[in-house]
Amino acid sequence: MLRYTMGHLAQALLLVLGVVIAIFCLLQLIPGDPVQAMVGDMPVPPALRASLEQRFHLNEPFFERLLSYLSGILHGDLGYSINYRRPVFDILAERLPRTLLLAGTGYAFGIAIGVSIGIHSAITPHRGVDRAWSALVLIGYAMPTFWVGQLLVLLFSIHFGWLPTQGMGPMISRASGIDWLLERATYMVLPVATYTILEMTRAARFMRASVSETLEQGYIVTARQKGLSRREIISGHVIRNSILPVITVMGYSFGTAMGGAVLLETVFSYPGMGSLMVEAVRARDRQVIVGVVLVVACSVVVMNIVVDLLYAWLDPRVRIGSAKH
Amino acid sequence: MADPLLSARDVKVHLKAHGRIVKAVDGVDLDVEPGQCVGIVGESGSGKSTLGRAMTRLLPNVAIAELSGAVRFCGEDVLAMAPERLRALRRHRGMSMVFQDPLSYLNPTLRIDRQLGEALRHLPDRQAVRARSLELLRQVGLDDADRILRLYPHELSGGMRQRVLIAMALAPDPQILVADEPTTALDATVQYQVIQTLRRLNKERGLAMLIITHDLGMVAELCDRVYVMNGGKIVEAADVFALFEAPQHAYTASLLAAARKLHQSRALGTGAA
Amino acid sequence: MSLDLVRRLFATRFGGTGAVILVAISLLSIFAPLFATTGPLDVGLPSLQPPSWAYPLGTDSIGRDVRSILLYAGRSSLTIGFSAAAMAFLIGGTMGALAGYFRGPLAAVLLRITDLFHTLPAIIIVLFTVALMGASFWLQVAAVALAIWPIEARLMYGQFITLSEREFVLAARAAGLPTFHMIFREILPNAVPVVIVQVALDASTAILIEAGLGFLGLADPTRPSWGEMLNRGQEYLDPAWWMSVFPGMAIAIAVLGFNLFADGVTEMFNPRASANVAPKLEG
Repeated sequence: MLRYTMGHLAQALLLVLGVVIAIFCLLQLIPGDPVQAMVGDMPVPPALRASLEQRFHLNEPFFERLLSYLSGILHGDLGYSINYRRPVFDILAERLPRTLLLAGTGYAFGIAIGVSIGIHSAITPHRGVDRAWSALVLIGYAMPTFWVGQLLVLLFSIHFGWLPTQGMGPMISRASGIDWLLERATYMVLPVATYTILEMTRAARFMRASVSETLEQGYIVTARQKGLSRREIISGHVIRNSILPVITVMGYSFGTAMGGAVLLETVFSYPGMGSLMVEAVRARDRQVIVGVVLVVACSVVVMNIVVDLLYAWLDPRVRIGSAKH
Repeated sequence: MADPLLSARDVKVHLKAHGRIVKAVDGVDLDVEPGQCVGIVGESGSGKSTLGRAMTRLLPNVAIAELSGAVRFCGEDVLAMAPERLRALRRHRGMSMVFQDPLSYLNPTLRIDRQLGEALRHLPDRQAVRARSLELLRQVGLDDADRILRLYPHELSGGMRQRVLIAMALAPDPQILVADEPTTALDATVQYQVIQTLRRLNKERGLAMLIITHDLGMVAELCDRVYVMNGGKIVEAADVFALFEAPQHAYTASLLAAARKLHQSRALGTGAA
Repeated sequence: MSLDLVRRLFATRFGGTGAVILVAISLLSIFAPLFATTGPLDVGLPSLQPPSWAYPLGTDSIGRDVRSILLYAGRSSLTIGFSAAAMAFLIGGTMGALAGYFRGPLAAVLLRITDLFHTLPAIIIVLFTVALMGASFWLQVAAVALAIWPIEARLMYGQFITLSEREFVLAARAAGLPTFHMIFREILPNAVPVVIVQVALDASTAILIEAGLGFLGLADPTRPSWGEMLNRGQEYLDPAWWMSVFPGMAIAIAVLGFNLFADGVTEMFNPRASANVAPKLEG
């Protein structure tokens, strides 16, 4: 198990290194003046130019620049955002937890609901019910996530006026303790609901396919011949065995969830990583863009490792197989 | 003579496949007396497996175009039985089935003790379940029962898995065991062990059996009476010695001839040519 | 496609519906001038009119007919969908085919590159590219293709690995047929159904990505697209819901069309994949 884990970690590190180098090379390919690009759309005083050139080793050969860039990242130096007037690392450290909170909650609800729908769709003896679920899931799957968010805003904020839509909390708040939490929670309802719908449709699709496949397996016949009831077969054999592949697929698609944050956070003006990316793209704030890409890549890689380890832990076949190596 | 334990009368199973209707079983009559071992032989595609599945009401989830006739077990119609009654019968003193491919018929994510325990729920408590599990595994020739209970299916050899599956089928103290190609997936030596296990169960404990196979050697060793199946129909039914001595039907004769040729070439060490 | 294939597609659960949707929206966009009352950029109607007989989908903030823009915008959105998917197939398909046919160190390198791109979410790659390169129409298509090609590469690689082991391919290889013949005559034709499915799915992904890009106001401003309409609508969500609801609906319908079509083709070539058999667990 230890070797298995170490192997995965090494691979993941290589992958992240690859991403960093790829980004670095891409940045080199951009036509134009790098100093100008760093500063943005404003004139560059010669003194600043000189200091920037020195700080980023702009006049040195390619490999030395790459090395100094890599060592900078290792020291947590992701550059300085002129747009925000803060180190990029600090901005990311502030934004990432918010996105994780939003995406994580949506993920959890979405998988729980989606998996239940998928199971019901696959095991229902009524063909019509299955078709209805399938059609609903397909439609949900086809809608742009941010547009779903807009529809929810239209319905629950504009039409009914029940829920706030912008930001993480009110501009001015005197609430504290539980009240503060509840006040903030109302701001989370719509973004989380949108996330939930996105993840739910995906989980439901995968789960339905997985359960249908499990139902074809021989051990289900064995369970029938032991005289287990439908309920016992489903809870004891079907769900357990069907959920494993779904966990993998959902875990591997964590990146897609992070991508969804870009648009969702913009719809709800939620100050997370996604809206940071959009702001940075609009302001041509290259240091921040690169920082966001790096963090996203790292979180995806970390998530993939978690999924691999979780799978190895849950599935006896992988667990034993790795122990023997 | 007493009523048969398990009987089929004009059983038809027609399946839908690729838009066509396949008459997998087409009007079969068959009897198994208490304590008797009955064989169904035929080539693959003759409908013998589907017949076995229909008689235990374990047909796979494929579209069934027609399922008719009567299967009687202890006088009750199996095909018309309410699901609750069917489950009760499977849980205790009813029919059990053993399948061809033991790996896919065991749940890969559960240990053997749990899977065996599911078939022992008529017992009062966990100690009784454990004791009976150990007893069952030893009964099918798995002396290392303690260890096997803690293992997962993929950690067992093919022969061990098949015997675990037989133990599982014996767990509800069935009155009849239906075995579908129980030795096909196994090596020759393991085949021999499994056949001996079945033979002991039949001769010593008087367990009635319905063996579905294409292996005539196994039929000769185990069965009292044989049905020969071809194209969804029974073409010949006879006592085992009568069948081997004087096959009445041309199909049976050719089946026997093929089996002898195979046996001879094996004996000569030239392999199946 | 021959008539028999069409009939088989319509016999699947959703395939026929998907094909009908795709044909319908394509025709509506191609023949937009026939259905639109004004040009896509013509202003001058009363602004922010709700849907009515005169303006079935309402008018926007600068006095344009939403129906007319929607029809013309379909042209850009569908063009991006089809061309980005085609481009992704060319890049990814080539990479996957090379890796799968030649194996060895070349495959290892190509697959690592694929993994690298696959690590990042598509929208992040597109934003990154657009931020660095700008957002002209074809650059945008290229950016979307760059984001989705790894899926094609993986798929093609898998197909080549599986198909290379088949008897007919082994026989052709043993007969010493040239590489070109092996790839284009023996292997590729057998991968066609899977490729069609993936290209259709890619087209739907491309349309969704374009929608996102347009929504963020980062698409080519000179060519109206569904995403760009959503960007304009965002500000007017409160007074003029029709400016956001209808373009979103158009996107959802187009994406649904591609997905249903893909589902149908999968089912057509692999009936068990979605054949719905009611499980009989009771008895």
